[in-house]
Amino acid sequence: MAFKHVNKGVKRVDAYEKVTGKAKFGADLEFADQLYAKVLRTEYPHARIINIETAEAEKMPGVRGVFTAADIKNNLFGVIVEDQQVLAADRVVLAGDGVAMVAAESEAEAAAALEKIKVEYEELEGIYELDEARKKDSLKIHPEKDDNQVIHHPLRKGDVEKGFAQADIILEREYSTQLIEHSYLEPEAVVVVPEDENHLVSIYGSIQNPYATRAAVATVLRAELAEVRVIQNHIGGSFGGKDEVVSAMAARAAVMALATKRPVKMVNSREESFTESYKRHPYQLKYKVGATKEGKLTAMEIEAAADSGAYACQTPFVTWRSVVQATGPYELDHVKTDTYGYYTNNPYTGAMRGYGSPQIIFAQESLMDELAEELGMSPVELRKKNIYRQDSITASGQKLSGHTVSLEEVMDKAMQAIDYQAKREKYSLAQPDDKKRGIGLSISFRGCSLGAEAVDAAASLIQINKDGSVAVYSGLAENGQGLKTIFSQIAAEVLGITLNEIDYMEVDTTFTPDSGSTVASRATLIGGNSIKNAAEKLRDRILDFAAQKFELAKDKLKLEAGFLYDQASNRLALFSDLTAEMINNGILLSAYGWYKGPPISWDEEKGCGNPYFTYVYGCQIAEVEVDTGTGELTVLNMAAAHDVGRAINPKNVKGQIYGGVMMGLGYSIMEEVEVEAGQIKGKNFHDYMIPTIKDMPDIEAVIVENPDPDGPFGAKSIGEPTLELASAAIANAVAHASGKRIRSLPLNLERVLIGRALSKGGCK
Amino acid sequence: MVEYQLLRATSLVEALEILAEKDNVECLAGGTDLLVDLHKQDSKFDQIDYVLDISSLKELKGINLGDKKAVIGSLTTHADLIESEEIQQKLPFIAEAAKSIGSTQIRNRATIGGNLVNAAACADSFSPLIALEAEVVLASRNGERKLSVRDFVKAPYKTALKKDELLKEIVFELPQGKYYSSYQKIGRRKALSISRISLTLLGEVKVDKVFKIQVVSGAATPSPVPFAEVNSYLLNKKLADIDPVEAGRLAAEEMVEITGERWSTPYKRPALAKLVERAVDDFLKEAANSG
Ligand SMILES: Cc1cc2nc3c(=O)[nH]c(=O)nc-3n(C[C@H](O)[C@H](O)[C@H](O)COP(=O)(O)OP(=O)(O)OC[C@H]3O[C@@H](n4cnc5c(N)ncnc54)[C@H](O)[C@@H]3O)c2cc1C
Repeated sequence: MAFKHVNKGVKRVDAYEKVTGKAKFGADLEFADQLYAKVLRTEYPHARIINIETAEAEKMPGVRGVFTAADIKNNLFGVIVEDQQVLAADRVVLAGDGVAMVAAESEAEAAAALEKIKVEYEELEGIYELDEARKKDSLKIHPEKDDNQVIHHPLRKGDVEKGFAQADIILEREYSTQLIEHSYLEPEAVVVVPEDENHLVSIYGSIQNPYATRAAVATVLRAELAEVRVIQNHIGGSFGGKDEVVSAMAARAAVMALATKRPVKMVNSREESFTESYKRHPYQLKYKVGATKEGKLTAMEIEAAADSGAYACQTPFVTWRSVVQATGPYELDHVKTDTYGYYTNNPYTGAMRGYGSPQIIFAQESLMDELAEELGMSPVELRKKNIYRQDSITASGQKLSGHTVSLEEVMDKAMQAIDYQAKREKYSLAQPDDKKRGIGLSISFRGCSLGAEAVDAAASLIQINKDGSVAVYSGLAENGQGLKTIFSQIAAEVLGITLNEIDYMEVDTTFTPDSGSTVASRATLIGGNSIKNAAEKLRDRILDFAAQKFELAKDKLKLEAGFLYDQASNRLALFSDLTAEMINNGILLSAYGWYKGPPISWDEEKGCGNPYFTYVYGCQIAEVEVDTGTGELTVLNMAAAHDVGRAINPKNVKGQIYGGVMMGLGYSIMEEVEVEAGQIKGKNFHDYMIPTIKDMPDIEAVIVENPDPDGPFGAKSIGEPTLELASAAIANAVAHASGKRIRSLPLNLERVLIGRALSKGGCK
Repeated sequence: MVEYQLLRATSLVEALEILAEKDNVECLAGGTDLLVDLHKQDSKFDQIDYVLDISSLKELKGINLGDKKAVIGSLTTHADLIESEEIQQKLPFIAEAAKSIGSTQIRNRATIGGNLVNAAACADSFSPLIALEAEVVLASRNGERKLSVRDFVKAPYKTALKKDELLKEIVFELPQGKYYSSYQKIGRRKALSISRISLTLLGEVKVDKVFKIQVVSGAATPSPVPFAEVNSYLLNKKLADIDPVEAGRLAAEEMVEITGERWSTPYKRPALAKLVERAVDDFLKEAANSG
């Protein structure tokens, strides 16, 4: 099938604005009469609030209001569990909880006033370790709950006892992963305008999920959804990170805006962002695997525990994705998996690109290499003996059919791209120098979109103007990932117009229908289908009209590049003339598109069902050099092969791969938010290491295309799969190079040289 | 809030005058330490009334390597050092150290003088200069005085600079004869990386023997110091009798003697030993290559 716009690396529609600096971000917005607000955050990870004294702060110059929990109509919110306070009322549960806030004429005046607020606390004992949180008799962080467990997801298949009895070899290993920061370039920012154009509040800013923010603010204000309007601005990175934390910020600003009757702006500094934003869940993982001498897996038993921090946030769903994918893409008759989330007084954890998969993949793909070594088998051979193939049955009992199960293909293509076999052989020979090279791989399967977490549907709206120009709205949001471009390409493809004719609109909750959140690598798949649906409705309407007008059968006509053609490729009319004529005839040239994902199922008790309607497959390979004298680790090259169904924009797909591999590399070898007794130690990028351009390896990005029957033009997902594989591939390469297996992330200098971390994260 | 008045000096004389007349003045060179600390509202600045911009003082600029004597102005940036052909040829370890600092942007602004006066334990300019036995020239309205770089730094973030003084320049004798050097650094990433450990080795060879040697620690010790044990092990030794592993072992022992057992020791001990071993290896190889 020859495409005009789809499957082409067209220029991003928002590139010009962004590279010329014209794009307006949340912090750039200014409104007449605007106030600035700042939040007083506690330094105690767990304390009772005895008293908050605000009188002195109220008298400070420029101050227009000082607020505490008492000023908030409904102080509790949360997408899944309502346990998060807008401002702490009588207890703080993490260091960084807001206790009071000030709105003032300037940021400096707001900051000065904060210093005059006196809070009296009674310090309470806290829980900072998962093991402690799990104890039956440990103190409860949320006293109204039975214990500190946020969630438990079981999955049972077959009988693991029986499976282990069939094994010739059983391996038990423990792994752990660390707390990390999203590190978006732009810290959080919102502006809330009160009583604006018939709305109680209008909210602008760096908002990943406008509908989630709208719901949170409406809950806090006890307002109706229609009274709260959210308009998204350009976002300087989000990676799952600008959801609850921005909703809380918007709710705070909304409370102040309504009380002062003036627009209120809040912009976090980097330190404030580190303090208050949620992060990636650290996991502790126990794996037990059985296999025959021939390398056939017989059983797997898994326990994964996640530190949720003081709030539930996304933990129930993050750990759910973990339970579904915990075995990795391997055929197993006997599986017993339990994933848990626990409350602690640590910084809270939520959605971050990958969402419960990077942790389990690090463990399970390290385990596969360890098992291969025990069996005296190559990691590739062991995997190929066990991987999912067409019609394989997953751990949850789902038959993988209807889409192409391409694990072997992604493995082979990645291996070819980096010359895996030759390098593996070469580096397996003795290496006399301190600097030793190695190569390792990891593979994954990943359920696309939300799965059984929530209703999976999205809407869009396309309006054709009289002159043939087209406005496209979607309920899903550009987060920097390229959504506007992809959706424009799909609309242009279906309508047979040029990309120039398309004006892509920002999300505005007033006009665009609620489409859920822009998460789970679902936008192209679910949102793309809804765009296609809207465009197809309009194309049909136009062709119906043209068929009548030219007295030709509708299927003999086509729209292309802004013209109407007949079968013999004669130009019959301009698209814009047709649309003008239709509108003059009173024909509606706007259409909503809607798409709801195919049915899925999940039995929470047994942990079985068809949790996702389709999957993507990926393989990443890392080639490293380990300095066995100093512990320095250099990732020389990486290959990443991902089946995306169909690449709507191959350049964009590659961009996602490069970025995801780099984020994965940071997660693997250097990133860690150091927390000591609930306190974050480094709150800016001189302490918190993220990779620089000099740490970036050459990356061979391989796009594998097996169009999915349910995807728009066959497209599936790419955003998250790119990030989940690097850590295991790198750890496996390090083990290959040095003979040392490291089972905790990150693989920093100390772990590589002496096998253990020294300071908790060892950032300094 | 740290509040201060910004002053700008257009000549060295004027700058020294201001320093003599006013109290609580902090100089601004490249600003890559100072501005960061001011932004952090570091409590050490609670007492500041003035920031004196010295960045345009010509008297503090320039690299001048004569036959014997060398002068490096305190406002010389790390980028200047890297680009200087003389430095590259005669003192490659200085260029290596400068290359390892920060990023392009930082190296374009950050000065060697600021690096010394700020005196962080991990500052990368110290070990090459101490290996050269360099001196700092400190100027005040009352004249100039010289101090060895080693004595200039008292403790992390503490130097012998007096409140009315400027660091004018760094002076040292150029090494003569057949000399070889090595600069080593370990960081957590490939750029913008604070030294975990760094060191400089500078040695002179006469008839197959070590005639002069300086192995100087960077970030391994609270203040940069020569490894006395290593130096005495190497000094006057025939090249053929030198065991680089032994030199490494001695350095690690000496470091632990200075610092005591710390959280980082289990890592730093083997890593430093390895770096010293490599530096000595480099030295021996270079000496062998040039006959
Ligand atoms: C991102 C980043 C990365 C960095 N990486 C490194 C690194 O890898 N290695 C490293 O060693 N450092 C590093 N630094 C620290 C810093 O860049 C260096 O210490 C730099 O050399 C300081 O020079 P400056 O000219 O910017 O000093 P400034 O910030 O201008 O001054 C620093 C201090 O010295 C005083 N001062 C400066 N010049 C004089 C003078 N002539 N006389 C008297 N007092 C003076 C100032 O009053 C101030 O107290 C980094 C800094 C940043 C921000």
